[in-house]
Amino acid sequence: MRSFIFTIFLIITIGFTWLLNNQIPNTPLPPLGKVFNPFTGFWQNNNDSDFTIDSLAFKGISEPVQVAYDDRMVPHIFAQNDIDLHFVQGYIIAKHRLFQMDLITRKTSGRLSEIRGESLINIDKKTRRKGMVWAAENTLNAWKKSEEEYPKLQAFVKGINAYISSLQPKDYPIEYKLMDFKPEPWTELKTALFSKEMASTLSAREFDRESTNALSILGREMFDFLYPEYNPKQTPIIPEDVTWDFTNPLSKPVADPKSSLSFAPERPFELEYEGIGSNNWAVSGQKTASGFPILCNDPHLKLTLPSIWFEVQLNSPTQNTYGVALPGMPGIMLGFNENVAWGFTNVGHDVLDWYEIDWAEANKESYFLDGKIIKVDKVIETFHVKGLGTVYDTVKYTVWGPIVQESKGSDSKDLAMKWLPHLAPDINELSTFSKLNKAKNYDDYTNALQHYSSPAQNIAFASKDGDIALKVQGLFPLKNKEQGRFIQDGSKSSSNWKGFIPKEQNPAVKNPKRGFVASANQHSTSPDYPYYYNGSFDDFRGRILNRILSKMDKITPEDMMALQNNTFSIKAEEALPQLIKYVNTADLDETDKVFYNELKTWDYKYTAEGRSAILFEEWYDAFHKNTWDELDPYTEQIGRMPVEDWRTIALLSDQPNHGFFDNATTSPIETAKEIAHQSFKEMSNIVQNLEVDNDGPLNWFEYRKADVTHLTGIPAFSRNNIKAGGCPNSLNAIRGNKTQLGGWGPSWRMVVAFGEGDVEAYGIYPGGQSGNPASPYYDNMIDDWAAGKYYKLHFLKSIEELGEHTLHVNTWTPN
Amino acid sequence: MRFILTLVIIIIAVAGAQLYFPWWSMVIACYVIGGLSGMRAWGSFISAFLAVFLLWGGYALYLSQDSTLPMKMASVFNNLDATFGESSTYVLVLATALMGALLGGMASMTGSLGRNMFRSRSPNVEQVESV
Repeated sequence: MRSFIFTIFLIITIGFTWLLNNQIPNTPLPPLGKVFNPFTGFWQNNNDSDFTIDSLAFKGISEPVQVAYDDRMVPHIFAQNDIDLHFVQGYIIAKHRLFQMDLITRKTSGRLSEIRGESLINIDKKTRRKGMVWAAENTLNAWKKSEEEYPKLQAFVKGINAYISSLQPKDYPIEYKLMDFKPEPWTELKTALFSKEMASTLSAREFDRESTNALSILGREMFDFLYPEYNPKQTPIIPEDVTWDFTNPLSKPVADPKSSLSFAPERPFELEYEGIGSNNWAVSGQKTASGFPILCNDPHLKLTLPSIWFEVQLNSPTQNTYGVALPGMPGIMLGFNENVAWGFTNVGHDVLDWYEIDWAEANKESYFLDGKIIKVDKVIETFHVKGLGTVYDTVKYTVWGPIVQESKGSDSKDLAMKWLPHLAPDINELSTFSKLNKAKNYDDYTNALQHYSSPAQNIAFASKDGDIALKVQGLFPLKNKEQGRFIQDGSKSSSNWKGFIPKEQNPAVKNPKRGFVASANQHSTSPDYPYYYNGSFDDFRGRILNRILSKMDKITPEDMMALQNNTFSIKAEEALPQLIKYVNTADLDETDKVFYNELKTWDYKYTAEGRSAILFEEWYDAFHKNTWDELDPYTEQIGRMPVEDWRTIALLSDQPNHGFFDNATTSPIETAKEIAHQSFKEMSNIVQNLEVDNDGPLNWFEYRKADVTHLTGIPAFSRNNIKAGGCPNSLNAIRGNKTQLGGWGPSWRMVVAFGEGDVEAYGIYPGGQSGNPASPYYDNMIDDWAAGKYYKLHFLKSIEELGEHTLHVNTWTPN
Repeated sequence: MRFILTLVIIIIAVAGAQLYFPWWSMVIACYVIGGLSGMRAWGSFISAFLAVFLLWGGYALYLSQDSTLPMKMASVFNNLDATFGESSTYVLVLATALMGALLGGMASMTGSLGRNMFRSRSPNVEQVESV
């Protein structure tokens, strides 16, 4: 009896302990004992952990290093050589953003199922099949050959690992505790993976499948009518008066650039990112109040907590640079020093092309290329799935790249992916950033840029000595006309890219007459640029930016801040007058009239608390839908390829009697007039219903809903419904959650003004320096960011200069 | 007196074990002390329950000072913050304390029962059996 009772209690105790130490299967609950016990659980992640070190001794550094944190927790790192500087940058970024670095690189390497289990195995497989790890390996192998840069990368990685190895389980960031896994050592490959994650975010947009389907279903004439490549109203990044002193070595366009394939049923992978934009510009001294240039940059990315950017100052005998860094990459990506400033926006050129494979045998182990049979290279991918064990997947590689999605049937066609970021970059690619960090003038800037490969960026520049410049930089494939716009024939090597555009012939401009350079993701050049390129380009922000900048004079930094926060939309300015003239006022009820009059006086600004933007957006969407309803029956076959807004507005204003405006299902013949009026009534109905649900008038920011979402989606660690104006077509390009988790928007706003004395710089981003949700520095900048405020940046010559803004100073000594 | 002494020893032992070993080392500490204390089964349950309740609850309460994290964690766990509002922090402290206390109490009681099993029949055991 005694032993029986003992055994029962022993089993209960052990069982209870086991339950509290493990994730309970099929529930979202973390291991409760691990998470709740106050010695190693979440209680340990209170806000003290931001500053737990005063002095540290390290093997990794050779001379003393000082780090001063300012009152927004920006570290100012003062080292006595570049190796130490990179080591400490690695340590500090890991200290504040470890989980973010880990999660992003796990995602990019297809290893999420290791921590989240079976539910993510298909996402992981798709990531590996896209060749993300292959791309990172190719990149790292190139980086390793750089004698100058590789040692700094090694020091950066060592610094990260010095922090990771100092951690006890109680110190792990809270997400590790909730998801029940451990930090693992950082590697050089992870840094390469991080750069490929950026490439995947920024340079993987293409519509090859949809264009191929649309062309074969609609025919050439209709295809060209609906999907012209260039908006004649566009004001390209490189001003139209710039001329080109070189010619395209390719002879005239080839006749048929597309494959025999006339229909592709499925996308190999869904477009993950849409509508990302960014702005940058530099104005010369002739347009500023001070007589010195001002440079501005606001890259638009997914709004996440922690933020994608980490603010830092890096000082060594060879450089003194301030700006934002990516958590996982050495150096500063966007920033300035005493002499120069630079900023990035994304280039929309299509560098991802699909090649149709002509299989030579039913088991799809070999394929035809120029009549010869070539075997695929098989790579076996291994996944250690939590709770399931090891899973394998075989990926076939062709000369073009990986087969991302293999169809089942033995006679079916498959597509191979050719993507520029798969290829090994220039071995000195990383030196782009270290050279920009150290640049003193225009020559240093062009010298730094020559090694940059991908993801391609519009790199704006300004220097204290008065130069402004902008270059569309990256490695671009040399293509025939329309090559890569459609699925290519993978059975002929002649379908391949014809090489690359020499980087010195990439579009660029220095000190243009108009006194400013600017980019907002629009077309790089006017169509007379000698090389063909296609891609995804913005149609409205670039135009408003060029319009406003050309009119500005005696510019101050405050003017530039106002411009970054500008919410005016050219789309509304062009579409609304065309639509409103068609409203039949005799057919409006009282509420309709209120809406109508409100729109008549609207200034096209998407202010946070305004309602007019909602009326316009709902009206325009209804009009777009009613106009293009003739295409609806084909949408399923073609895929999602809506007619662009600029094209719709052009048709509305230039051809209001076009047949597309007629609703084929009704007997009278409608024109833009009837469709505009009918869409107005539909809008009025929708908005009235929304206001009933809302119990009062709507406002733009609540209607749009832009969230800054924690990387795991945990609501308690997110900030929802940001109160700010703006829309994707305005310079303050805040996008709501409509299409994906979380919002998009200006992820770092920077204004750098040169002057007689020291450089004056302002910046802000929607987040905070700390990745710890308990820290007061986790999301402390969001409200000021939403309100359009800026912080003056403490760009120091010495630590002492920080004075009363000093939060904390750490001293690091060599061990 | 022995009760108070055992309670203090458990607090020290559990805290010491948890500083250096995984959290479940507290189970072993309670089990061992429950066995060594020579108290009856219920007595050792209550002493360890109280000891761990005070230790876990007190430490959690201390760590929750000036931190926004407990409120956020309350939201992570089934939106407790919506139900308990400002006092969510104390609900989480109580939950933490109770979880540790129950586990510690069970372990200590099991230790006590184990010790009794190897002893000659004694009044202690009869007490337990009558329970």
